[in-house]
Amino acid sequence: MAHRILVVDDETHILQVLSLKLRNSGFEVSTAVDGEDALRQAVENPPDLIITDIQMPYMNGIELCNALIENPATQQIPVVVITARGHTLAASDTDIENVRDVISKPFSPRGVAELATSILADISARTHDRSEAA
Amino acid sequence: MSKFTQNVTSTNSTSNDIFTQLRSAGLVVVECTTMGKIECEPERGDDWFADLLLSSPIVRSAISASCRSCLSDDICTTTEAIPGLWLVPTPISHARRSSGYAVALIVTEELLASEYVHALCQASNAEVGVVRDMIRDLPPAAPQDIPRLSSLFQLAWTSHRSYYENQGVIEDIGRELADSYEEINLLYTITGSMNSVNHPERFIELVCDELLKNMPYGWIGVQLRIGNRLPRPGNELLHSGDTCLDENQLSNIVAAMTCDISPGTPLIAHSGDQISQRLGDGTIVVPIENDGKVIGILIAAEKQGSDTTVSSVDVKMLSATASQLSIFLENALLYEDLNATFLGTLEALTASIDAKDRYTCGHSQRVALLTSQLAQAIDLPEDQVDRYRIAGLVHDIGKIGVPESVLLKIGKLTDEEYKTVQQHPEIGARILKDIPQMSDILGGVLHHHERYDGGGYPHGLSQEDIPLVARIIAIADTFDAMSSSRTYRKAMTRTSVLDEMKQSIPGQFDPVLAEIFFNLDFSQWEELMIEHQTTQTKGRLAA
Repeated sequence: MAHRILVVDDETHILQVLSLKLRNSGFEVSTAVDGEDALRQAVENPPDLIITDIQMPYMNGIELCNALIENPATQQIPVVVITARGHTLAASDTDIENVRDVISKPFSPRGVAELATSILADISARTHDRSEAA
Repeated sequence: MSKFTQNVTSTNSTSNDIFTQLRSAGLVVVECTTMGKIECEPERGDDWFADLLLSSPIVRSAISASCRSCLSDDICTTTEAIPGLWLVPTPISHARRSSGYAVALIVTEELLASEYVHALCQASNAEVGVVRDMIRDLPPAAPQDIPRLSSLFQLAWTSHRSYYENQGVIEDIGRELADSYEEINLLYTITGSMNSVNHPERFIELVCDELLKNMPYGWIGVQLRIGNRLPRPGNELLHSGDTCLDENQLSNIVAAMTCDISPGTPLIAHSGDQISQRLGDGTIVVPIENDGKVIGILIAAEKQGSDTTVSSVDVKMLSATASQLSIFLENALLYEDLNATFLGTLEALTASIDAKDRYTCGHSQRVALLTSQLAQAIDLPEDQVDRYRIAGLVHDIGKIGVPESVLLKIGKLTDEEYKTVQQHPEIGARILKDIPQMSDILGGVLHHHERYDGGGYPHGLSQEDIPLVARIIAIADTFDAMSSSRTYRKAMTRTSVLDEMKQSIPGQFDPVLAEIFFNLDFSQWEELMIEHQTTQTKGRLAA
């Protein structure tokens, strides 16, 4: 079954471009327009990966990552965060357990799809190893 | 849920939804060509009502006739095909051209009383009584509702079409946007690396790698036409990706193309032309220009996949990159020229000092060579080796401040004279101290006469306190001096020089460096030595 990715950004064009690339790479994609919306969706139906912008209204990307960790239903979900280039962001800001990678805008959509593929393949391989071991 | 054998627009689920939704409102919808041929209809067996209507040749020909009259009258009119069966046609257009009609079939109560119900049942092998009951249960529409239902159908259909078309437009924009993102990202990556002017080949390789990630080509390369103004890449072809041609063949083909191309016009290989024969259909060659002159080309060759059509996005991406390359190369060439002038000036300056004394002719150049060789042998980074070479070149620059009467004196120096000579490292450091580009190698000039045991001059530093560059120059300097004739003695053979130096360890030299030095390959140094002796002899004869 295809992996499901939740893409979170308040900019429609980013959502559009990422959904398109990720769907073309064989993923199922859902979208959210801010951290609040994303958290609600993630709790209701946890995706395999979340790709989120940082600067968003209501709940920003960092707050979202922290909120995901606090909820047992969502704490295992890996997150990739996207930051605007030049936006001052200390390394410690994204030093959160569930953040797997940080991407700067402008990014290569192809690169993001490749990153998602490798993160999810890595997780599948580990889950497989665990079930083999069991 | 009713299924459709074929869907004119696509198999997209959104498109199927409209049929399902209309069906639940009691409407059966088919799609026809402008000539009335039914092209898309519900799948048989899933929906008894659709089956009943569409199995009948009378109904099918009525649908066709309805479409044809729409075409001839240029207006879609709702008609009662048979008593109790209404047909509502509405146009399907694509790119502002009519491509057919969607026809909704609506049944009213009148069908129950109509004779035609027998014909319908016959065509689909159904029993009239059962069918009448089933139609009654639908229930059928009231005749007075037909105008309202047909308006609603036309509205729903048009909105659905425009929604669907807009979805297509959004997809297209998304695709173009994704391409633009790739392009912006590529240009960001490229401009971010443009500061590596002293390694132009690395920058060019990065550009080719990045392009190759973005474009469906077998290899992407850059060939310059700038002579040896940049030591690397010079005139050689740099490329990313594998090619089926061998390197020699490739260089010849590419070199020929570099001469053929004119400024401002990318070349695109078309089937059968010269480029496509050499590098495959779909190959793109873009000139790299500087000041209106072609200084090289950027090539994307051996297009992958079965489609050899060149994408305008790819041409745009290559052209944009070629402009970046041209800016970079202009800077790299300027930097190289500046560097060459700088080195040339230093060489001329040091050679003129060496020339004062016929016995030291070429000494600075040879020390520079040995210094860089020893620096390389201890695995210093390339940039550092270059700096050490310069330090070796200028180590004796302070001799400019030592009177010729002392420098050229035949026989033993007095203590006073010896002190004067010993000042040359400090004089050298003073001369160079105000040149910011020399700050990192001043130590080499100032301390090249320090001894490892602390007995040297000017500061009596010892061991690791002596800068590495100075410890290296000390060895190179001594070796070259002992190997040359001096006013006070004849030149020694290499073996005796090395033997004598070995005895001076550990007092004079860093023992680790000295051991590595003794194992260097001295052939390049010997060549220089012979060259300098020849110049010297010629000079003497001329005098």
